[in-house]
Amino acid sequence: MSHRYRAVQWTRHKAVYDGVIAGACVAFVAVFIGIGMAVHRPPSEVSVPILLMRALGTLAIVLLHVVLAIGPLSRLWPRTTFLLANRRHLGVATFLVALLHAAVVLGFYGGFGVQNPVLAVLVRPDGSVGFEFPGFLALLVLFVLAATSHDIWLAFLGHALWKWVHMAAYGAYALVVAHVALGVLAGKPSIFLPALLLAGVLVLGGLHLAAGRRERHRDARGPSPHARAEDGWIDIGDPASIPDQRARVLCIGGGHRVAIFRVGDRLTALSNVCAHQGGPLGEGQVMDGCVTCPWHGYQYRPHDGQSPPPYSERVPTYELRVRGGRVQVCPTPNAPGTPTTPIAIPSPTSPRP
Amino acid sequence: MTPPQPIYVLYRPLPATLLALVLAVAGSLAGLAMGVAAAAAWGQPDPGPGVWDTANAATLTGHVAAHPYPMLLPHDGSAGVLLVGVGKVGPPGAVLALVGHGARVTGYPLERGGLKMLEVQEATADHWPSPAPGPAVGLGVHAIATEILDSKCYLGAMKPGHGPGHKACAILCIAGGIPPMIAWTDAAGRTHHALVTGPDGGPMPEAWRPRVADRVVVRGRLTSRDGWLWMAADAPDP
Amino acid sequence: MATATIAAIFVYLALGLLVAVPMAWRGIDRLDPAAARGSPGFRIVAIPGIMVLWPLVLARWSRGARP
Repeated sequence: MSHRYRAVQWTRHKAVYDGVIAGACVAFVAVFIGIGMAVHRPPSEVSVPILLMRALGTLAIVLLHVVLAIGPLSRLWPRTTFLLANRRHLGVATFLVALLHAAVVLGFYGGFGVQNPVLAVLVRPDGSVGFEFPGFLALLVLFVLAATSHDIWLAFLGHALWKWVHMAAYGAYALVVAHVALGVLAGKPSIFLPALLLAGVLVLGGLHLAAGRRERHRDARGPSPHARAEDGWIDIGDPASIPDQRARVLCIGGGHRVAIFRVGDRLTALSNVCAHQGGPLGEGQVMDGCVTCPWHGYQYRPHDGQSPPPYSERVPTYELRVRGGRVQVCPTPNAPGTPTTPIAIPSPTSPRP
Repeated sequence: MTPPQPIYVLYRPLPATLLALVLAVAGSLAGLAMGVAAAAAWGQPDPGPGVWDTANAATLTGHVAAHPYPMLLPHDGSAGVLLVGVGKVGPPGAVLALVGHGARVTGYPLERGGLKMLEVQEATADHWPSPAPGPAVGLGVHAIATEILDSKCYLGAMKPGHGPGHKACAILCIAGGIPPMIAWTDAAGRTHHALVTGPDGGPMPEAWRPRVADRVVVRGRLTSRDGWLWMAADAPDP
Repeated sequence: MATATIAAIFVYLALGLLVAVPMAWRGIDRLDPAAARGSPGFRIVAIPGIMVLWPLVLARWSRGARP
């Protein structure tokens, strides 16, 4: 993980994932140009460079849709988290495809002339800007996101700020929609193109709304007031119903979530937020004796929230106790990496103190 | 209680229970993307019937005129052929030096709707007798709703070579000396084209440049000369 | 205005590149212990990120901070 940085922390899965993305991108451009040439025959053919430019632009938009759909998809269907694990690679691919699109545009629309190609494409003779400008800004945002996608920038900015910066992907999406609406769609294309873009916007919006509702609903199911002891400790519910090597996530108020992990008949509590990218640890699993984040596989020891050496990530732990045969969690977190003593699941017949 | 499904961890073997889902999701995403590619490629707007024959150079002889755009008036009296350079520029100096003289010009032909252009590779003096200037026929003042185009792209150098997507290129072409033109369809459905000049017959006023490729109304005197229509456009409304 | 904005962006990134090369070569080691052990490929991949964040990187580097 962050023991020693490499250019790309490739694993076999990531190599396959990247290979599939690259292959799909090449196939997309080939299908676009192939069908474009087959359908639009001479003398009404579309120039191949223009087909290439549009294929790359369309592909960048498709990739951006997939990138933005992965978050809500993995919230709604946690089994699709495998898409999320390599999302940054997809984001970098989106930037590279958009960059190629821009390069072809600069070459064919901005090149061969009497002006600087960048200014010829971006600035009108009266100093105003056209539909290309939001596309340029979107490319710039995608560059910032791709450039800061390496783990070093996560560590440098901290995952909360990093995440916040990377939310700019939504800004890039809005800019791309403006770029397409003002440029391509104003050129009165067939109904296909506006319908495709509208479908994309609706699907993305719908997924985000559904995922947001679900999260709100889940948080609203936090502990009921009577589950709180006089000193503020919170009843975790029936510990026996937590599957072995898994966790129950408890919203303890103030937007904080605790993951109560069960290993055999022992319970421990960690912050639900992974120190890497803020992934939901409580949706992970204990593997090799370590809590394993479902997003990128970062691992923490259940009793002290420390990544096993040589890694150095730490998450806050929470104290657990048994009162009246019930398991309760302290709502105040310990400092990240603080050891706790796992407690045994009380048997239903255990005597009440 | 059924044991929960194993989670996906990117540095561990893929759980067998996830393989089918991974294949299904990857397959449907790829299929959807290919569908988008096919639909978007299919739905490309018609770029029009321009032809740019970069495989077969043509040689023409005639008289070089420039009022204001360089044009070869063939000795056989057929319609004038616009002369432009390689790239988004007007014709090379060799052509400009021959204005008012007979010339032999070689280049790659562009043609759309009977309108001809030559992307000049080579021009030499050729002693054809100067033809009498063709009579200019006044057609009155017109206000035409249209789009200002760069003639080289529109005639076939880029397909499509019109519309808002092509605006930056059209402005660059016109700035480099490619003659601006307009195209419009009359009530009978016939398409007409006219080269755009200033009100005094000089090059199109620069004030029109930012409006190139927009839907505009161009107002001015329309004349017919050398097989072309010419629109002496008034300055754009502010 | 538009031209000035575009020029400013390119100047920012060009200055970033000037900072990024020495910073990726050695300077970054001071910012993150895992970077000190970083591979040559990592140092190349770090360049665009430094180009974007160079004022922050320089500030933290001059403080000599290790997070």
